[in-house]
Amino acid sequence: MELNAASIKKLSAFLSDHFASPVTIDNAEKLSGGAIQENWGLHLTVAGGPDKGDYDLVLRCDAPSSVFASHGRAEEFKLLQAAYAAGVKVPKPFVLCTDTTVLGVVFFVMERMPGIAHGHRVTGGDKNPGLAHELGRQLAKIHTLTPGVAGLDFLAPPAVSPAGTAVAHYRAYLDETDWPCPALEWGLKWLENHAPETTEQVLCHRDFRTGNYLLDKGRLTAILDWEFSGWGDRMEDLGWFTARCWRFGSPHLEAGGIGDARDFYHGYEQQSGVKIDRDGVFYWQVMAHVRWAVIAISQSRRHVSGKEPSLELALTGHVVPELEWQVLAMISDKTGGPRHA
Amino acid sequence: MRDKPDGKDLLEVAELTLKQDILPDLEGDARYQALMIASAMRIAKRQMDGIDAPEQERRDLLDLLACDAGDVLSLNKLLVQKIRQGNIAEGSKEYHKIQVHLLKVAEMKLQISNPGYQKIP
Repeated sequence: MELNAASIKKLSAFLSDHFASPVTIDNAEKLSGGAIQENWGLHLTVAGGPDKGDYDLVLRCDAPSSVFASHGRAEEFKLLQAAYAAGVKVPKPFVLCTDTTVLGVVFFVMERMPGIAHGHRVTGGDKNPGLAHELGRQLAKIHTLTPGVAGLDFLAPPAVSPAGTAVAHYRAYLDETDWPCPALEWGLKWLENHAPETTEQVLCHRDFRTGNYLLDKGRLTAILDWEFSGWGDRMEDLGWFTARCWRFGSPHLEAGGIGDARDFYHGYEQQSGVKIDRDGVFYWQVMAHVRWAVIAISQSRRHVSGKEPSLELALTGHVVPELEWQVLAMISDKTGGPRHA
Repeated sequence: MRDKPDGKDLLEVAELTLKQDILPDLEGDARYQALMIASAMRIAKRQMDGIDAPEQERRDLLDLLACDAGDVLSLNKLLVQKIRQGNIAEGSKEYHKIQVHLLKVAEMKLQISNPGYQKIP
């Protein structure tokens, strides 16, 4: 999508309707990052009414390529609204536009928060116990959203067994690629055999990890990227956040490469009153590596198929061996096998 | 034997040129793209080192699956079927044998994609 003079005019008119007052957009810049979505930074002025003032906002719309199981922008906007209402640190959602005559795509506008997100820039320094604790608290707040909450009725109903459903889903995907992955199948069989019972379902963010939150001078400003969220087992998010594959430059720091697991768990337990079962986290860490491997295969296949030649997608395929090795090593540790061949 | 410089030599000097002469002047997205190009060159160079050993993997698979013939692709499909059927008792001798084979293949692939990975805690 391009924001040229004509589309800025249409956007101004749309936002003027929303704010019930003339809106002037004096700056629009495309923000970097986002293979799945496109983000534009907007600076605008609302001339009058109760919202009179200057705003720094982000306009978020679909990019040409999509990733499996991801929500569209309309759904992501509703998730942001629910999270904002639950007191989670997210950019304030302003308005959703499903009328494609405005910009040619569905988009929403939200508050622009300060900070950086890139995993390699956020990790690699000293550990940050306060941030680990705060991220634990924020995740616990997300998990206060449960099936039946207003606005999220578009989400697929809770599965009887979130773990079993995930295993079946990833197997089906591997079958679609028609490329055998015995190491991932080994992981899926172990996950099938040890699937936990989920007694209470909550809203899982499903991409709650370093790289998907904004950090400004060491402090958390916003949790981003809600396009995979759905009902599930709270342990799934805890396993994803602490998995080895999301620690970037500090693999020894279990809490997303930014801190110790105990600080993260402490924040979660203090906020939620739920005691974290460490074996449960281990199970979902194995699942995290399998899931990321399946997504990485999906991305590299887009390149290999010739449909979308891209160096970034091609290199993502080379993340798979470390994920396969990690899955095998973790299971080997649990089953009394060797860690190396 | 082919004349020097061969493909691997060319990749080495191309990566060196990229890092020494081009990367220092780049920033933002252009720098990120150049770093990805350097990474792709390193992977391609390691692939040329002959670390990949599909024939060894094929022989190991024939042994594991008690087959007389088959290529790596078809044998891996058979292995996937066997794993999914789930008749291999966890912790059994056969279980460990398959696990060691899978680790061996994963380590070989890691030597190409990210050889430093296992050294990191």
